[in-house]
Amino acid sequence: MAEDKKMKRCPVTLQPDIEELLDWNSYSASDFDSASVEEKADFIQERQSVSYWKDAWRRLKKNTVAMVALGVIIFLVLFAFVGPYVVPYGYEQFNKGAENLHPFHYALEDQQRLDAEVAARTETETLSVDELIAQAEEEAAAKGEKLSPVDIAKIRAQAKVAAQNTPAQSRQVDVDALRAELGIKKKLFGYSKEELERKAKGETVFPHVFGTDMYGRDILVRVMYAARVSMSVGICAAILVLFIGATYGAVSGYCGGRVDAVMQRIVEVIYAVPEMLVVLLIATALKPILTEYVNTGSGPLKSFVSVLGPNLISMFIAFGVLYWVTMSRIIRGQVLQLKQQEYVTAARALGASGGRIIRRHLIPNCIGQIVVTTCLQIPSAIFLESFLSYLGVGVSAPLPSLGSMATDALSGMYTYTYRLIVPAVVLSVMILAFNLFGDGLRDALDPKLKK
Amino acid sequence: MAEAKENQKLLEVKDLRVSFFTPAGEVKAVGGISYDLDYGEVMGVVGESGSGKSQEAYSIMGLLQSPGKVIGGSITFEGQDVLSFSKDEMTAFRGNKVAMIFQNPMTCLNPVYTVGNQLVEALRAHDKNISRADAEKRAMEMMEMVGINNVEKRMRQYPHEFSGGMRQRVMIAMGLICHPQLLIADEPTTALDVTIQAQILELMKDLQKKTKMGIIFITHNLGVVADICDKVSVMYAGKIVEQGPVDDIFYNPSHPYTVGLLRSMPRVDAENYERLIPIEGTPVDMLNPPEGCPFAPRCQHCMKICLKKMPPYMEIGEKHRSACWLRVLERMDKKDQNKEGNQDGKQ
Amino acid sequence: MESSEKKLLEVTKLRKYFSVKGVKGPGVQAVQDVSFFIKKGETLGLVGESGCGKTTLGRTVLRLYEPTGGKIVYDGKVLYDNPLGPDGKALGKAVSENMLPYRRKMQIIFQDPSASLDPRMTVGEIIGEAIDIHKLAASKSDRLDMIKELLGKVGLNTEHANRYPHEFSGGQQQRVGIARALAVKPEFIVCDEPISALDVSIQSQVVNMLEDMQQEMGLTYLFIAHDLSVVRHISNRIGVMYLGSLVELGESYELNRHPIHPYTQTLLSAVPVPDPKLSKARKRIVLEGDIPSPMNPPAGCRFHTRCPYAVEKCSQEAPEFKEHEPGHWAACHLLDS
Repeated sequence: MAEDKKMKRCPVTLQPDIEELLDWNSYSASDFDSASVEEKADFIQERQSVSYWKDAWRRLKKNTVAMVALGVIIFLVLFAFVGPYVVPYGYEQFNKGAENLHPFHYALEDQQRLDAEVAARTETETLSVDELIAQAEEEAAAKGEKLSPVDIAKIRAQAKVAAQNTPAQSRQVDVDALRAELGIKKKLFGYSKEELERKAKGETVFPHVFGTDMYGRDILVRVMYAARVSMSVGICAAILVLFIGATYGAVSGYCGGRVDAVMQRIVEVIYAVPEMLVVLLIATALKPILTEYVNTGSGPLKSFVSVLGPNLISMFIAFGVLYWVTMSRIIRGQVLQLKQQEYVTAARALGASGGRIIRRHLIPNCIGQIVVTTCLQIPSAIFLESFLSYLGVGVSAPLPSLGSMATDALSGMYTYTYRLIVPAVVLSVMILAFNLFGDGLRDALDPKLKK
Repeated sequence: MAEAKENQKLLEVKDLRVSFFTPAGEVKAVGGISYDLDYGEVMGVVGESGSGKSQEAYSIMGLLQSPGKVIGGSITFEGQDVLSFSKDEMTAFRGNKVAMIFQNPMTCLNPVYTVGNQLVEALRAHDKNISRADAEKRAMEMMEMVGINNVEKRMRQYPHEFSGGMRQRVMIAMGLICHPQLLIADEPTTALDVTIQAQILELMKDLQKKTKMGIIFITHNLGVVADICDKVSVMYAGKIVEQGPVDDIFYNPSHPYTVGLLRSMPRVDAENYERLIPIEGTPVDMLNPPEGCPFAPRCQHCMKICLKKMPPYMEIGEKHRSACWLRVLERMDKKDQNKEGNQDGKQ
Repeated sequence: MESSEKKLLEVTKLRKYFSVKGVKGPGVQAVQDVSFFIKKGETLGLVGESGCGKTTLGRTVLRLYEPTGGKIVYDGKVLYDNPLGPDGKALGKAVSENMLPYRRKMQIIFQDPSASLDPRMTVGEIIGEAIDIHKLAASKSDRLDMIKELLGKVGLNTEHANRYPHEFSGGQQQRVGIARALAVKPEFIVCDEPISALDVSIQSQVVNMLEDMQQEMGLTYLFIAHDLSVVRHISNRIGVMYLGSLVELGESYELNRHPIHPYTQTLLSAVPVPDPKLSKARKRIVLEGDIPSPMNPPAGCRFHTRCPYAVEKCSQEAPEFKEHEPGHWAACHLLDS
């Protein structure tokens, strides 16, 4: 039977034996019926719809660095905007008795033990002055001389001066050594003595996590507010830049020709202006005008101005005047390229107006670039704000800024290093996170750029 | 040459599989294709965009771009396993044995070097012993051979000074300068105008006659295939659905896709208006190709089994194969009849 | 040719030059004094090689490019008139009509379906834009119904309205492009190589659909393509362009059987035939050389540099485009003698 089944085959044929290949008998006759339309339709699996943003998000999620950066940004936002509600201190609240606290403390009983010990030692030290005199007398007696009262007074005075000159230092060294001797360890967070006592009584006292400054203001809260100020300024400035830059660039690119030429010359002139100088100049020029306005003006604008302060307003003006050029260049380049696209011609053929084409076609198509540039604009704005505040022309006095906090910390840099480190670290982390996230966003939104 | 090794084919491809590992999933660009090419034979590969016809050629040249990968099968060139070549062997293989010309000649020529320089460099890259003067002489010969006039002057010109057709000629000259035995032409005339396309086709036919090289001619234009090829492979969704001598494919097509393609084109020699008969539906999504025959959802004769299982290749005529259940069914019917006939005879 | 049939579009001596930065002179002479007319309900095919100005001509007719000179009359109304003297200077002040009302009547379908659809808009938005611009829908639901109807007309599902163009295959994208053009209920459509970017198996679907639309809606087409066989199939009459000028124009099958201009003859013989025996038996006229640059076209007949029959006169004097047989125009000195 097996031979029967085999067909006659040409000796050179490439044709494999179908029956061996297919296990022919496993098919029923119904397999060879025509397939219905539905069956055919089921056969094709439609790919699920993936929108541009979903696709970008998928790519972004794969980028670990960008996701970590995003996590940091979210943390910083919570830190800056929710944090102040958790911490019970105000950014301008002077905590009496809690001045110059370190971000660590010693337990009350340890403190007492230490005090007792210090007191004991200090006594021995004062005795040693008398011993000195006794010693000197002995030496004098050995020589057969007698100490005059003047000499004694001299020794006393020397000892006193020595004691007065280096009391803190000698005590400090001693105290540190003593702590080590007694096994007293630093405990996290700063508490003032009074706060520790209250705590001992059973009250809940919120610690000064990063310590306090010379007025007893809680540094944690000040950093939170400063981060809030920096981030708000950065984002507002970036949005300001976005609006001016995108509009300018889109118009310049879309109109082209002479309009474009003139607009681009203006951009070049602005590029040539040293921006820092202009910021300082505007700040100086605007200060009296704005101060007067705050004093005499009225309406919602007044409170707005008084909250921001003249320096911040001049900074925004500088951003509005100077910093949009990069954005406008990028958008113009994109628009010049997009304008050649056939869908723009199609819209024109439908009778769409220029404004409609910019709004509906050009801007949405360079939204990826816009988002990325804006995101990368934020850290530079944050940096500028901090820098200006550091110079003292940024945020006005009671409101903290990372830059102004750094300036304040400079005076006690060696003793209270953390006062400089805390705002500096927050600033660096913030700028780094925004930059890394922006880079990741660019890769996600414009995958072609990467390769 | 061909007589010397009678049984050896120039190129044998067996069950070649190429996949692209994209973030969205594996794309089986080439799903197991087999063919062979004799010395001096011209094979056309016809298929739509995305049918895998170019990827298949790239894998012969070892030019697959990431994330593409050969995941199975074998490529044998004159008895050597191409896929096992080291990097150096592959470089020597390209150019010396196999050359490739591309669809867009502009992007394949470096705009900062003169055309002559690029030809000379192409030659010297493969033949280190050749002197510069000799190489230049050869380059000029090649340029004359591909029909470029005023060679002395043309050698010193830059690619942008050449028109599209001339650039394609330069590309052909560059491909042939080391006398390869196989030329892979990836849509060499698609970017060109009809009159220029005619020039290039004439040139390629002419060169093929002179050099006796094998050509794999990848195109989507059936007219071009009819003009230049000895045999044809029709690809659909990464598979060869039909393969055979050019006359069989055009006059006796056996796969519904080939039939549909031929029917859907308006003929230039038609005398009167006839409505076109299109192939309905859209090509399959290569990202999740269904089981079974990929053409099934667009096929008029689609059967239930077509949706479940890819049909085997059936021999229709000499060297003419086709993968369609209809042909299997026909063969089985014939066999049944034969069997009955035999039994009758015995009785 | 019944002259009683209404001419929908008439173009006379239309000229379009693109000025080139840093180059003196007229720049790229993309369209050089082209004259033709299209009757209502017919399809005029336009063939030529790339760079011959056929796409520019199509867009200039719609005034998507502002013409340099000549006259465009649509349905009896002058859209543009700027007669030029022999030296290329304008004789009078140009008359140009506001195009907005005509955008509803004259539409265009593009070559590259993926480039002609805004990637950030859903299919529904793309089609809806036309409706919005001309305020064709009275209400939101009305607008939605119109979009659905259009999608159905071009053979797409109504649920496709919420998808983005990149989710479709080339053929489906082209259907969306057609639906957009049809949304304003036009009378005249310029089909700018609508099938050359599509796969062979899809081309015929689109061709058939365009034919059906024409039947159904009484459309008039200017069908631009470089594939002669498709143009001949769909067109009533065909114009052949070479380097910015129209060299021959005639009934499509007539032109195919008896091409009188040498360029048309070459073009016809160069088209590959999907028939191996015919293809091998056929004698091909292979032209020497390349198309000259439209920046600097040859004097006289623009084809004379490649023409196998060129005589001295051809290089000196541009031939006149005139009717040699009824309904069959051509521009060639050889036909005059």
